[in-house]
Amino acid sequence: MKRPLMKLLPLLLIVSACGAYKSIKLSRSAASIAEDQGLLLQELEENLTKIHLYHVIGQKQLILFDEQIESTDIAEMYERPAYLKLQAVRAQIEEVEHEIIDVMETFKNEKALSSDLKNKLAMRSKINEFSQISPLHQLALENLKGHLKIKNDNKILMKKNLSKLDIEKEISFLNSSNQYQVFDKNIEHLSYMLESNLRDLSPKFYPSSLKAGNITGNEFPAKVWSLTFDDGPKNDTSSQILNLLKTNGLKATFFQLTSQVENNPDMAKKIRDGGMEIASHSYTHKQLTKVGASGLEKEITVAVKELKKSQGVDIKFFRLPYGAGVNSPSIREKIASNGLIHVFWNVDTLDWMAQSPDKIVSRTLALMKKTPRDAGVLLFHDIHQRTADAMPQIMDYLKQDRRRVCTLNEIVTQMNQGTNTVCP
Amino acid sequence: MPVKIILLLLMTACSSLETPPKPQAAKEFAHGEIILSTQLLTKIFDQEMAPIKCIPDTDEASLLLRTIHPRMEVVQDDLEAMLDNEPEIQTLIDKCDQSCTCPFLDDLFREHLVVLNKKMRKMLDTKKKEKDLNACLNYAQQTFCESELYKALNQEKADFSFDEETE
Repeated sequence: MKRPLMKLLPLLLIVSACGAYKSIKLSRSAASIAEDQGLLLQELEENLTKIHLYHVIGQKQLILFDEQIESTDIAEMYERPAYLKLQAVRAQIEEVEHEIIDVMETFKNEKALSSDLKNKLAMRSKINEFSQISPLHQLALENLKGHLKIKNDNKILMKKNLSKLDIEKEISFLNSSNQYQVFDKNIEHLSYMLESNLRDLSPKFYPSSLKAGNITGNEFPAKVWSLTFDDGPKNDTSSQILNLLKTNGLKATFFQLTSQVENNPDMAKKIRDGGMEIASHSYTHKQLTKVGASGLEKEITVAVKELKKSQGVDIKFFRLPYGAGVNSPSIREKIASNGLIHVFWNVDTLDWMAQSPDKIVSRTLALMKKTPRDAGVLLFHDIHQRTADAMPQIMDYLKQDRRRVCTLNEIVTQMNQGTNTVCP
Repeated sequence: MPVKIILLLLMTACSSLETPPKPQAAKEFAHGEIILSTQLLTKIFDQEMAPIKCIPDTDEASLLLRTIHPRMEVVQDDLEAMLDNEPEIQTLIDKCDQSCTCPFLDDLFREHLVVLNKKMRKMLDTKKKEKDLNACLNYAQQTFCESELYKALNQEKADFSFDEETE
């Protein structure tokens, strides 16, 4: 009898040793689970506090932003501290939201944690308690509803709209809190950083054969338009367009051919004296991809020199006839070496082709509506009657919905200074 | 002797260099074909006509419009030069249905305040029926991609291309 027992002894020893090890391991696991749970709950709590504070700061700035909408210009709004702080708040909220989701994911993925009912209840009650403190606490979790499975059954949730009073109450309650003040300062600091990023000190446009030396209008601030007229001056049509611009209180940029200025000097002076911007469109409107080096010299360097002389103004912008050669490094280099910025367009009205003025109007408005920011460079030709006839309707449209029409120099100068407050 | 050899070698080397191709004169096309093609491109650009194989989108239409613009400018200048001459106007109207240019001519006459006599006005109005223009455009739609004009434009369009993204 003894022999079989003796034979089993090593096995019994192994089993008992395993049992002992298991019980040690179990007790260790219990401690580690409790520790993990504590850490996760703490992390959750910290992030819930953060998200609430950021939402309060955000709501405060939202009130300021909304109050300024009526009295401030749209482009200026985006430079105001309220908007910049809102941007900073948004970035912070998104970060904290990700952290909360991470905590919840960790909890879900840890089987030992999520299978324990006590743990589940602890996490759940933390979120529910938080969401019932105030409407703003509730609002802070709005984007996380799906992740956190917040029930829509408490009284605060029934209150759909936050009043200004709710927000002001919350702010006055928090104003004395050190943590709130620290977060508020943090947002202010971040908004300064955003502002300095916006106001990049290097100029956006300058004479260059690269991107900085070419304007298309797609870069313009929202609702800012530049009206440009090519190929003139021509006595009757340029005159009609000039009068319409004056009547409507608008300014435009005229890309003039030096040969046309020589043929119509009085009209050229009238445009200049009317406060319009003068730019160059070459000497004789040749396709510059076909003229060679001496041709380029005449069509760019000499054209600009003579235009400056006859108009008595500085020339900063050049547009290639037909836009031909805009991708040619040598042509772009020639333009840049003359201290000029090339101007392309993002709305081609195709007014160079014989058609009814109504067709030009409908096409122009359709193309303007397609631009991403309701902004850009409009390409017209002041040598056609159809263009002059289309102008009243186009100018009417440009004056609606807070659109602003500026000369290219006004836009470039102010964009280079890092401000979106373009032209009066 | 060595100098002579060097000179000889230099001459041989230089003679083997490719001579740059002489610039070819732009191919000339009939006014009617240029006008009709411009109208086709405009219709596609304005999204009033469906894209075709060689003009798959409005960007390509826009690029080809810039490319055809210098040719179209010559056509318009030629036509405008005829506007003071009644017999020439009569000839333009007589032939406009064959070249699908009647509506274009009508716009041109209106813009330049050309007063047509009753007979010419009636003839032009009869000839510029929308149905006929659509038939012309349908024809252009079917033939443009294979035309010599398209081939020429396609070769020249690199000069007019502009890609803001790769600027």
